[in-house]
Amino acid sequence: MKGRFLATCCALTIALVVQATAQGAPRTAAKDPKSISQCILGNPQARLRVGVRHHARPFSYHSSTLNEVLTAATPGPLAASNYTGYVVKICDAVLNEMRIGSETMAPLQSNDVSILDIDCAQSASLGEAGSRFRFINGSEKPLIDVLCDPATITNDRRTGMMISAPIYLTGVSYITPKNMQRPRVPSDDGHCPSFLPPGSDKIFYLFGMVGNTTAAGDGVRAVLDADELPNDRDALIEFLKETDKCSGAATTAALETGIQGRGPVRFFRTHAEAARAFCNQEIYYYVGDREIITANAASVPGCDFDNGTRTFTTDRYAIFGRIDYNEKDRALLVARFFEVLSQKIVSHPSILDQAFYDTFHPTRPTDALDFFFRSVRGAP
Amino acid sequence: MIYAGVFAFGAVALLIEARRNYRESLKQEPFQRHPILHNARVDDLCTPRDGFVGFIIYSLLYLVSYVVILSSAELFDLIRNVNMAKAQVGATTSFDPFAGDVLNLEGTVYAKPIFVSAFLIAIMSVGAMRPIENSVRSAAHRLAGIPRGVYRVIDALQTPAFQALTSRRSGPLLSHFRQLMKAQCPDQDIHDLAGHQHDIEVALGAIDVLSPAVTPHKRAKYFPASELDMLTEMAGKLQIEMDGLRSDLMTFVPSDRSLEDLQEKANTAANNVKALFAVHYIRNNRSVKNLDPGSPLHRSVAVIDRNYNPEQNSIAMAAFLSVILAFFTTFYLYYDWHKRTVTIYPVVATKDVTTAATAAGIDVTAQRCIAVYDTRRLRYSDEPPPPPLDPAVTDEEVKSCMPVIEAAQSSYILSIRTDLVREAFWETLQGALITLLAVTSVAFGREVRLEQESWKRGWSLARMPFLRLFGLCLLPSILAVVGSVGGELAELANEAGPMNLTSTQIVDLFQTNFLHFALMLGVGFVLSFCTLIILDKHDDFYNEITVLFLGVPSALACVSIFGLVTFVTYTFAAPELPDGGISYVLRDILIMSAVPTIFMITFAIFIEITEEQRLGKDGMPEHQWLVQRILFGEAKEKALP
Repeated sequence: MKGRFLATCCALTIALVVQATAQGAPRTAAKDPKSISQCILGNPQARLRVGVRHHARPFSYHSSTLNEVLTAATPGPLAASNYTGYVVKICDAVLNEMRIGSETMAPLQSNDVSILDIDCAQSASLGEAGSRFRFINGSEKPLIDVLCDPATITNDRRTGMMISAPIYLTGVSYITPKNMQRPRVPSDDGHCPSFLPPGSDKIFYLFGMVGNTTAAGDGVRAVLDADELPNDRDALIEFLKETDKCSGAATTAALETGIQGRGPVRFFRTHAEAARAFCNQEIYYYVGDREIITANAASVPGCDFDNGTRTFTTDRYAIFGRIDYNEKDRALLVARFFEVLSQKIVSHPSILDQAFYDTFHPTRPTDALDFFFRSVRGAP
Repeated sequence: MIYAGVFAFGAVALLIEARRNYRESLKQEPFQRHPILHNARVDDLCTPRDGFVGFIIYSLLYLVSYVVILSSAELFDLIRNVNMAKAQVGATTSFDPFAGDVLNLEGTVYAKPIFVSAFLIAIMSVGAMRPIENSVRSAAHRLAGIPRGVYRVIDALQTPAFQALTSRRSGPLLSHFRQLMKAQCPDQDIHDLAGHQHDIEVALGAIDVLSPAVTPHKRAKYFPASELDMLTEMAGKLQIEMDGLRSDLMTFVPSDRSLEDLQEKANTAANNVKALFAVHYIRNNRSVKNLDPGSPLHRSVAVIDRNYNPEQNSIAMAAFLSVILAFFTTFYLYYDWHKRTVTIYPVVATKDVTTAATAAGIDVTAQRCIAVYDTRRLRYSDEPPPPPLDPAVTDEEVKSCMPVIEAAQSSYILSIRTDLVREAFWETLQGALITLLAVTSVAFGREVRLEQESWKRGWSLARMPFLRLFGLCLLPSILAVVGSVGGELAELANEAGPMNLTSTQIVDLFQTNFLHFALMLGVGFVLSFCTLIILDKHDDFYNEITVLFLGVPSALACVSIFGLVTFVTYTFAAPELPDGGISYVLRDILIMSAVPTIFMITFAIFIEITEEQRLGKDGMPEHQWLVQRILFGEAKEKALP
């Protein structure tokens, strides 16, 4: 009875917070950031620091409307700040439960949680270089304790971090513009950027992908191994060899305008940028994790695309955390986070099902993803 | 690997069923109409080798169906999965939890080969499918040389030409009969009111000419390749029948009653002789050996050979010629297009002008010539006007650039020539596959039905048996789709490199070209329908009329249907060149319809050229060219031998 009362109070409080944030506080942290501190919502020294993404649709992103944020579930601190997505919803549900507390641990208060917008922080002071994992496990002072974004489990990422059970199964794919033939550039056949159409100032790259993601290296290699694009095989090999022999006018223009690219591949800072360039036909193949590239392209009005129906790798997403045993309170909270997460994954109904329904409804999971969910929760 | 095993298992199951069906067919008695061939089973009339070849062909037809249906099912599965994946999220890795359970074969991938195999076995056992099974078996028999073409030879031996030949050359029986009638019945018209005497003469004439070749003593001379036990037995039976007829003739006393009896006996004997001769002739690879030139038998064989229809040869010759002509036409159309394009295409010029200017070593810079080229070249209608030329460039410099620009254009055209040949090859291949599959299958279907005596060619254009023609055109229409898909797949596989074709490329091919492939049903229908009309009706017209009023309209129908295909499928804004030449769409229509169009015209020409001269009502040959007839009037030329 007492628990139910507390839950009701929490829900009312959160609803008020959501209402307040929707009306007042600045939510566009990613717009013209000056420093990392502007990318942090809440107390930077909060007991639990959560990292989210601004542009990683549909897993972790900032929404300007509440339509995509609010669901039947009680909004947590992340939803209150207009962050949503499949992974964010899972994290939010866990944080909500932590607010209730347990017999041995005090409930989490609203000001105990801070949120770092990683895309904002990436572009703030640290520039383009480096992985987003440096915020949780870098040589500098860590800024987050839990990373709530579509992060793939790899062997490189297992040391020094806590990894949840896999929460999603996807893979690298690519999409192409609908009703557009692959442009042929007679001079170099797509190995280098070029002006397309000829005579225009639009710089065209054959491939586009977001830098520092799995897609950049392993993804291209997977597409190459599948021999999926035999006509562009040489261009892809040149890219993987990391030799950039391009020196034409388009390459020079790209350098002048600050476009990042190597050979036939253009790198983007965020998927939102990549999707805009793709829909503007500045790239032909948009490579990345399947749901992310299709969701971002679909979010651009009037942008139709083909392909994106096959994955060339099998990647497992997980939530990553960091336990610093020198900071016992923080370490306990992170442990508690993963404790609740594991409980909510295997319980029935599973948080995975709820988050999937809230994010992707009415889309169905593929056979592989459906079987993966069954395996993780251990029940149909 | 396991899938290959299951696939092989399905194929073996089909082979077992095919063998059972085939062995059953060998026990049939196919020649019920001719008494001497009663009780002759198919396997009595062929060597074990022929039977085996027939089985191989028969089972191959089963296996081809198996492969086509199975690959269609796999293809359908592939495309369905992709379409489903559009409405799904997550990894698309093939995930079959039972795939490793080989012993129970519970994996979903194992189901299809077994299912398709069982489906084929079941469907071929259904009564409604019996005609198709019969056609398939008949096809195997024909291809293996098993004597299914006997009826056609017998028909040739009943033509006026053969009767004219035998009535002019009196053999022993016919001479004896005529002498007898002349001696005993000088007023023969009285006795021949019922036509008995004429019929007896025709029958005896046929017996005189053909029987020496099939009697037990001489047949080894004429038909050395047909030493079968059953044929020896039949020849013995025929000899006894001939002896009976001969003794009847010796003691023959003309009367109405005796003439009627003799007519019946002579007709039966003549039919038996013709049937046995036909079987020998077919078994001897459609030939008679050691013939004396000028002998009646030699001329009879000429009659049979002449009766061998010219249709297959015409189809083959027209196909050969149309493929070659279409290849050159396609190449020319591409070449001409690119030659016109090079005066417009700016990027090509930039590269090639630079090369040509360097090669020429003239004292103007390549960039200046590129600027000159860009100012002078034709422009697409939606292109901005050319930038003004630098006033510092003199007229002499402009003039000196012109040879460089021409050299650049020539160099570009030369450099893409190999690509154009390759492109022309693939386009021609696809056209050839569509045309040949549709045309040969409809001609083959017609042949089979003619042999089964279920096809009448004597219909009139005013009362066209549309439903019958339509029914025969269904399968060829589907085969045209298969041909189109095969051509596109072959080109894609070639582009992708050996064994590198990916499932996405295949899916993309079908998604992009689905409408095009579907419309090939219409193309196949037009092709097969026109072919049937030419095959059936060319005899009714003078040669020029056949070409002008059957061949040319058929060719126009082919162009029109491809026009419809481009109208429906070309949803993009096709590039138009501002020089007033043929448009992009017209170019593609001509390229796509090159093979079928040329085929239709050449087929109509060849079928008339290779056709035997027709006989008029008086048994004399008549002109088949209208021009000839106008110039020389009614022909009474040399008679047939």
